Amino acid sequence: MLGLVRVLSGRIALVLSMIIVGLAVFAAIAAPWLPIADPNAMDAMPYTPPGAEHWLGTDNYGRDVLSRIVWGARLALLVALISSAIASFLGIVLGSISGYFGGLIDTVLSRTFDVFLLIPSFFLVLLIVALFGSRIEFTMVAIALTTWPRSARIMRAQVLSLKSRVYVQAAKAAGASHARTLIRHIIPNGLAPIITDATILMGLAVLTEAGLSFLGLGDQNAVSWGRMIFDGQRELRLAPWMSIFPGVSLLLLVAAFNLLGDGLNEALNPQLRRLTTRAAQKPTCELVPTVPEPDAPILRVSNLRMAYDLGSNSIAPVDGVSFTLQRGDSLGVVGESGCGKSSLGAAILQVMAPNARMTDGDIDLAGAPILRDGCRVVHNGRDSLASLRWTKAAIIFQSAMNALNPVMKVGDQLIEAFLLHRTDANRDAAMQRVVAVFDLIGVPRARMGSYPHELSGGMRQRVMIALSLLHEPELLVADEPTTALDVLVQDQILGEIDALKKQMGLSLILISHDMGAVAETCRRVAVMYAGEIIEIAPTETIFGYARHPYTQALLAALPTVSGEKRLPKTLPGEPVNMAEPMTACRFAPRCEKAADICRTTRPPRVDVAPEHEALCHFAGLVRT
Amino acid sequence: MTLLLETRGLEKRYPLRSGMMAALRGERRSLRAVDGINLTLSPGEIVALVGESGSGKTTTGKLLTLQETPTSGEILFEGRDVTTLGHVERKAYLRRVQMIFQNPYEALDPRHRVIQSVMEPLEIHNTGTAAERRANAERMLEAVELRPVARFMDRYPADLSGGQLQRVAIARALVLNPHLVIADEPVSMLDVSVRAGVMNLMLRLSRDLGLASLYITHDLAVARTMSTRMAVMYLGMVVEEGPTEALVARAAHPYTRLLVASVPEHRAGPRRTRIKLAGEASALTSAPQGCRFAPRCPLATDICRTQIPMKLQISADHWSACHHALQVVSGHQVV
Amino acid sequence: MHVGLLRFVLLRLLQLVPVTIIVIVINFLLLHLAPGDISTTLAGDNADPAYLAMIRESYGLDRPFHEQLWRYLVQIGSGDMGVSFRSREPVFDEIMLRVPATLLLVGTSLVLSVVVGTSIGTWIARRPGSTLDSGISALAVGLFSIPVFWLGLMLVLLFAVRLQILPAMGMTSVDGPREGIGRVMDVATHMVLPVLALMTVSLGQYVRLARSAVAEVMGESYITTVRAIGFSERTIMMHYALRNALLPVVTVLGLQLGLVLTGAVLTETVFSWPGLGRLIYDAILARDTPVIMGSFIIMSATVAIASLVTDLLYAVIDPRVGLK
Repeated sequence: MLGLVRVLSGRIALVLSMIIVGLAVFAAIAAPWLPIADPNAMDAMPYTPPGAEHWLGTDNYGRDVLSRIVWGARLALLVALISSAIASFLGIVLGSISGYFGGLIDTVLSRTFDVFLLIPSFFLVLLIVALFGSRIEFTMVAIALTTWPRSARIMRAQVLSLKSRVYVQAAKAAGASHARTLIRHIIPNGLAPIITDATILMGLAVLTEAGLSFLGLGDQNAVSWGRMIFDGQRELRLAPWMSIFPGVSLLLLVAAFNLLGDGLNEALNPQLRRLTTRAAQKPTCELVPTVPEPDAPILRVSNLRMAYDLGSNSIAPVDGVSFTLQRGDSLGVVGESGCGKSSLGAAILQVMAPNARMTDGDIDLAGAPILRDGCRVVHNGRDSLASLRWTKAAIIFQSAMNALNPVMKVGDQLIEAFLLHRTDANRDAAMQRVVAVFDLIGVPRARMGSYPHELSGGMRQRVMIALSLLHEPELLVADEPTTALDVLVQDQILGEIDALKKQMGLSLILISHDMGAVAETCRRVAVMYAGEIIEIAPTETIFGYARHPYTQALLAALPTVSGEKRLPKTLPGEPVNMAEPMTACRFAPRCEKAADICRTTRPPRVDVAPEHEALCHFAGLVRT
Repeated sequence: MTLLLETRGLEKRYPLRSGMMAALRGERRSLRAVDGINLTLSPGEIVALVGESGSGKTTTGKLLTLQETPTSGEILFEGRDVTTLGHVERKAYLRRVQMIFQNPYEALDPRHRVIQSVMEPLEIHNTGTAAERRANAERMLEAVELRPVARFMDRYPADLSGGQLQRVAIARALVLNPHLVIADEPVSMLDVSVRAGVMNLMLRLSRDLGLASLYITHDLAVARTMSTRMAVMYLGMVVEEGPTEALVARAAHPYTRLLVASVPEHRAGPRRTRIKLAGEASALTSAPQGCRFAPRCPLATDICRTQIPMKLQISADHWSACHHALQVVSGHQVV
Repeated sequence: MHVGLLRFVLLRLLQLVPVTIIVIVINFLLLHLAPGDISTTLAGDNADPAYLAMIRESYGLDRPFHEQLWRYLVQIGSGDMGVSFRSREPVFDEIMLRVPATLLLVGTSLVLSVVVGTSIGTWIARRPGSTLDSGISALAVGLFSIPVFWLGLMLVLLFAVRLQILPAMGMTSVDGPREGIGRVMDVATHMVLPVLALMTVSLGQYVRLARSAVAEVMGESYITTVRAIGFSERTIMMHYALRNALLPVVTVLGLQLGLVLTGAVLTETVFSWPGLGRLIYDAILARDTPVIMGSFIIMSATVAIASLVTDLLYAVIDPRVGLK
């Protein structure tokens, strides 16, 4: 129920605005036929307050205010539509040409846009109208001429970004002419923000015309809300209704245009929805801490489940994951897109996205409970994870380009991170530690004063690693630490992580889509599919004696450089879509060994050998 | 057998903003993305162009499909130089040479149905009637294994998965029956389990249609699977070229060796030694003094730093641009 | 990096020149395209022939077109914007006389709307998508849809006419104190309503801008990193998110100045505030073209300079500037 209200309340604004605009359009079109007085007839009693005969009263000339409001809508809409139409058209054409052809044309045109945008448009309109006269046509054209650079700027930016889209390049590579490329591919795909901006332009046009009329520069013969306020200003004491109602009409219409624009923007721009999804509730449970056992595993995860709320849907990227990691051990988590490995990595240290929440499961870090049945463990108001995260266990994210603060020097970021957990230390001590870690990783000391964008990809990732090792954690979770890097650098960084692991006695969880990379660094490998660990075993076993058909298929699909050349084996279908209903064994649709039981009964967790489990009905029987 | 494609001294430089003082002196800095390469391709052959980012491999692909114009050099297609073509002939060339791009998720216009995207090249070149174009497109969708075709034809790209999108892109590229396809990392953005399907598809189509292909990739294992010949690029130049199996097993250039060695092994057993390589490749802006790879090469000696290496012929169809090529190919430790 | 920054600054400074020139040229072209005799436009309908002749001479109206343009450019460039034919004073002086009053009004309301708006926007960004968030966002839209002159009138109606607690017009009372604290208080009470009007209308912009900027920043990867390191939500918002969110606010500030000045003109008209806006209004009524044109040039120049300043500010806050 609450959900429905929330969805509607988000849309109420949109609905209301559409109603208002609809009303205004109706009034504008139907004005001549509506049973209202002639807006210019001065035969009623002037200064009549709102009442039965004149619903909104009469003005100082005896004209009916309601009728003038209705006719004023006509003018407002006309101005709005025509000026925004001209402005948008000019903007689309010139912006497209500027963005598409680039070079000198672009330089000249975009400088023109910039200059025009700097000129305050109201004053230019004022000047034009003051010089040329106040006919409504001049006003509309003047408004259009001062607002088209906005559309042009937007269109140009769109074209610039769309130019590099593959389908545009593909069309050109197929021989498409410039005209065809622009008209068929670029402009239609770039219109969304123009449409949104057009509604804002409409609101601006109405306000500008009203402002002009208020200053007495509007068309004397037209019925304009602004002009009504101009007339009403002098009679504020005697007949305030003369000013109130036209102002309210202006407010409602312009607000409606703006809200419409907002609604359109959200509808046409899916990224915005990300910003408006509600943060999930994070329940906590109280637990008295106990002394952790001396040889407790560094990490114990049991039946972990996570839900991800996307609007009205929710998916479960982690759906019942359990494993244990002993101190000093290393585990690789591999899988393809959508398998949940990154979500798992985030869940371990509870750094999920705001709209993700744990629905079940236990996590114990270094023997201390962090999560019980999906609830964060607290004691006396203190979160038990807070004291462990970054000090006992740390995480390295993928794409360090965005994982580091772009407006802060990297040295400062590390120093702050150090001082947060070491309130006893001062800045000098922090600096020393940072330098020490940099030396350990192989980052030149001089880099402390650099910003992230000044560093190469590999260097940035090393800084990220340094950041994670500041407090000498015992557990390191590395989520795709080398994905965006060049192959040689990838190998190098993984080697460095491997060396650090040995040097510092780190326990390591390495998450990657690259089975080979994981194999060389980790003693054990867990393969994930559709939110579950479908097989977990020591590395040699995985490669030699995998029991789950998915693992086997994955290995067979990999091309090799060594050994005999063979064609990789095709695995039909695509990685499962978590949003759609799934069969009992989630891999069944793609599995060549699937039988009826796979589609109807959940596969059991089979203990194939010590430290080797597989989630398959046929795990014990499958030959490799 | 006549060559299908040949490049001679192909170069592409991008001008860079030079500092004021340098500009006054008349120096122009430019990024040498492609610095004089000579590639050859025979009909029906699949050649892999291998390199990391910044090697110039993608730019080469763009030059060959006329998306960029070369700063100098020639591209000879069936004997004719295509860099100097007029508008009409250019279009005719593009009919014969098509491209498959890296990003399947952007490959299709989101507002067009699948069948429209596949028909578009036919529309651009005005081949046949509307009905014939449609039939052609449907045939192509069948060929790329998007079955049942009737189900896929009218879908929009947003409803398709990565692998399916790339198949449509392949159908679109092949609908004009080109002689040569340039594939720029077509599977690198796809999931591992999906890659094999697309790779196998491309191999089969290439065989069935007698298609020649330049397969651009940074992944040596993929290059090995797809190609019979391989050219390795580094900072704008080809440093080694030869039969794929030869390069993979016994490369004659340290860079190639390192690339091969950096591929993780998918089997248990003794771990290989990791790469220890200094620095990262930075783009070339001025004429190199000596071998481009020297700053990072573990085998670099004085001659490497001062003299540009010549092409050393290792065997009839295998050469390497390295002063120590013979040492490398005979197994001298690089890693 | 510093070279890039320097280059950026120089480029932006240089941009001011073509902008100003273009504005002046536009003025010139409009003057010539407008109907009616130019000298009458410049001198007023009731000017005596001697004055008309003088105008003709000084603007070179009998000379060829390009000479006129050049003369005009030089004239304006040296600060001579002609003479107001109502007051017979140089336009430039008339304008400069009024600027402090407008500055007071505009400055105060701008500062208030930025500070209040950004604070509210940041506050609701803590829970994007909540009812509070949607409600305030919608309200903010409503606010910047209000015609500022009407709001001014309504405020006058409520506070000056009905409640009679605040003055409706002018900057000072007719018989008020001339100096000292008394004068300051007098000006302050007169300022309340116009500033309220101006501020309300631009408030909405900053609420929405700050909200979307902060919400977007909070979704960035480095915020996740910082959260993982252990910083509290409060610290994250204030220390990290806010700084990055300031960037779009600063950008818009520069662009918005034009709109704020527009609002100022309309507000000053309503409240008879003795600033530039009032001058322009009176000039319009009297068709005093030199004043209108001169104001246009001054306004454009102000916006251009403001935009430059905000660009520089942006460059100071964001170290990535100067790279492109």
